[in-house]
Order: sequence, then structure tokens, then C-alpha cells
Amino acid sequence: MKIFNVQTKLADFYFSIENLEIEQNKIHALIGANGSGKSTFAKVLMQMISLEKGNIDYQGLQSQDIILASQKPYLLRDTVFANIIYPLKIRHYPINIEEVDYYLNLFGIFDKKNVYARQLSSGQQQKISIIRTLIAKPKCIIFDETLSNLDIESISIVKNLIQNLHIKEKTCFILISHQLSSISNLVDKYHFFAKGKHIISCELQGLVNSPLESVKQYMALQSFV
Amino acid sequence: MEMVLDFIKLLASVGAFHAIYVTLFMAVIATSIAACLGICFGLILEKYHFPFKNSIIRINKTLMGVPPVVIGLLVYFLLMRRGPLGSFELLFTITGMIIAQVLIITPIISGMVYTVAQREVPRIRNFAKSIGANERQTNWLIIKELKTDMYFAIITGFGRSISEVGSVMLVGGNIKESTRTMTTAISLLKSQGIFTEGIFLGVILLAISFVLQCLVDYFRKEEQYNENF
Repeated sequence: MKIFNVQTKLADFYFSIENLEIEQNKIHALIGANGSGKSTFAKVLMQMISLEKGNIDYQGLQSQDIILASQKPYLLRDTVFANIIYPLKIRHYPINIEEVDYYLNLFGIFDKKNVYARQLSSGQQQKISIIRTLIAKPKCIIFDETLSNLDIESISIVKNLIQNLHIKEKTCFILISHQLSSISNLVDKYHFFAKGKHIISCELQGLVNSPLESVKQYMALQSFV
Repeated sequence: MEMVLDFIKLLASVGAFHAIYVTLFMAVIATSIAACLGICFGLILEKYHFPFKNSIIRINKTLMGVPPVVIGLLVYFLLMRRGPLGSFELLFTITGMIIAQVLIITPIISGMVYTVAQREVPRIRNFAKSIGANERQTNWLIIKELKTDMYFAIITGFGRSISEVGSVMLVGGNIKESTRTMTTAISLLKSQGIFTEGIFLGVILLAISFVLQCLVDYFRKEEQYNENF
């Protein structure tokens, strides 16, 4: 995906990107402080926010090829199973029960399969959101702070799944996180945002050596310098 | 046994059974029409932005609490022989009563649906977009997700319809074996000093209200039980 001269305004928050490229064959990270525009960028990519200026070249990607799993997932007023198969149903994909069971077992919530999804804890709800995102096998997945509610074991499981899917299915991942250390072993390319502006896109070394003051401050807080 | 039969005969003589039939028929038809109109209107109000939208919402909220007798009077003027719709000859008919009831219930249903839609639909729409649903799938999902709230609004509307007396008295005319409803019958029986039959009809109305309240509580409890706070 290529993003050119994008500008938009949400109340008194201005968001802008001059030039940014999301390569399909990489795992990307959107980093920056709170309110820097990371989640806004994800919403811009999902066309949840209309642009005042600029355009996005999706390079052939359709709306069903990208899924965003948000920090506070919306769960349907239905069972865990119904929630998980929803993206398959709307895509008219066959439902592979064994695969659903595999993911539920992997995350230790198989016994919750027929439970009303909103009854579960926030961590378990996050797991459902992750499973339903992965099971649809889209070409691009955006995880917006999705790992933040999970226990250490589940974070490790998700990281393995991300790596496996990226290698096997060539899925592009865009990870949004406050903690650089939690995703640095996965990510190929970082996109740094500050005060609603895209500042720089580079690899980890580029961030560490960046002369930009905002990047330096951020990296110092992340204990990378 | 003989006493029961005598009581049933007495009820039939004052048109109580017909009144029960008229009440339920009118309430079911009026609520069905009002549900279709109210749900669509509530969802349209949430989805689209247009001039005077806030004023329309305010008017709708005002109409939610308007005294039914005022609507009855308005419909009476519309349907009376010299009124703009007089040629349809709908005054003192069940159809006329249904029109009045629809005007009373629709703002209640649309107001309730709009309130819940305003709170829930943006989240549902964002979720649908984030998961790759198209326009049709999104609209279907909104209806599916709000169905409990819609049932709640419909039951509230139905409850209002069966318990209403002012407008049906004005528009229907309380004609025996024709437009007499349970509430207008109770009103008449009381004025004639016939309390037993009035109480019987009142008990039936109470029983219907109790069943409706049970349904409302069931939906509420189910929602509360299912949510994780």
C-alpha cells in the first residue's frame, strides 16, 4: 500500500502523512506516544475515517483483504463460536470446525466455545478477536494494541502465529504497540508517528541512530539508547 | 358451574369478548405498522445527517410523551366527515383507531430505537468495516445486534396500545360490538355502575400487562446476565 500526502482532521486533532509505504512482504510496526496518530492511521487504512486530502493506493487489495483487530474488540451478541466464524460467513468461505477448535485449544478457551462471548474476561475477548482475525486469512492484518490485554504465554503464542502466517501465507502484519521491546524481534520496518504526523519509516537501527529529536526522546524512553 | 355460565352470558351481553378481540386486533396491527415505521425511522435518524435533524429528534422526543387524547382529537378532525380525510369514512371504525394508535406508538418506538442506535451502531459499523463486511452485511448485522432492543421497544409500544383509552374513545366512539375496546368498555361500565364486568376486563388487561412486563424483564435479565462488567 502506498500513502501519499494524506491529511485529515478529527475535532482538533490533525493527522498527516507525506509519503508512506506498507510493503506486503514485511511485518510493520506503528510506534509513537499516546495520541501520536497510530490508531488514526489504522482507521484511515480501513477507510473508517474520510480523508480531506491525499490518496491511498491499495495496489489491488480489496476491503475484505484487510482486517483490523482493535484494542477494545467489538464482540457480537452471540457465542464465541459465532464470533469466530463471522468473518468466514461474510466472505462465504467454508467453515473448518477443526481449525476453529485448534485455535480455541491453542489459546486455552476451547471450553468457552458455546459460551456467550461477552461473558468472558477482557483477555479472553481479545483472544477471540485474534482468532477471528487469523482464521479469515486476510492478506493484511492490523493488530491495534491487541497484545496488551494478554498474558505472557498468549503473547508468545500470538507472536509465533504471526511469524508462521507471515512465512507461510505471506500475510502482511501492521502491529501497533507502545512497547517497542515486545515486538522488536518480529518487526521488519517501523513507522514512527508524533503529534498526528508521520515522522520516519525505517528499520530498528535507523530509529536508534536517528538524529530527529522526537525519535531520540521516544527511543530513550523505550530504553533503546 | 351455572354461576360461571351466567357470568359468561353477562359478559357477552355487554360485548366484553368482542372488546377483548377489538383491543388485541387493534394493538397487534397498530404495533406491527408502528414497529416497521419506528424502527426504520430510528435507524435512518442515526445513519443520515440532514437539515433540521436535531429539531426532528426533539419533536420525536416530545411526541413520545404527548397525551393520547391530543392525538385522538387530531385524528378525529382529520377523519370527520368534513375533515380532509372525511371521504374515506374512517371515523368510528377500527381502521381509524389503528391510525390514531400508529401515530401514538411510532414516536415511542422510533425514539427508543434511535437512542440505542446512537449509542451502539457506530461501534457495530466500525467493527463491520474492520472485519471486511459490505454495506448489506453491515445493515443486516446492525439489525441482528439491536434485535433485543427492538423487541423491547415493540413490547413497550404494544403495552401503550392496549392500555390506551383517550384516542380510541374519541376516534372509535366506543360502539358496542364494533369499536369498543377493553379500556373504553371499562370506562363505560364504570359510568353505568356495572363493576363486576369492569373488574373482569381490568383483570384481563392487568394479566396482559403482566405478561408483557415478564417479557421485558426477560430481555433485560438476559442482557445483564450476558454482559461481563
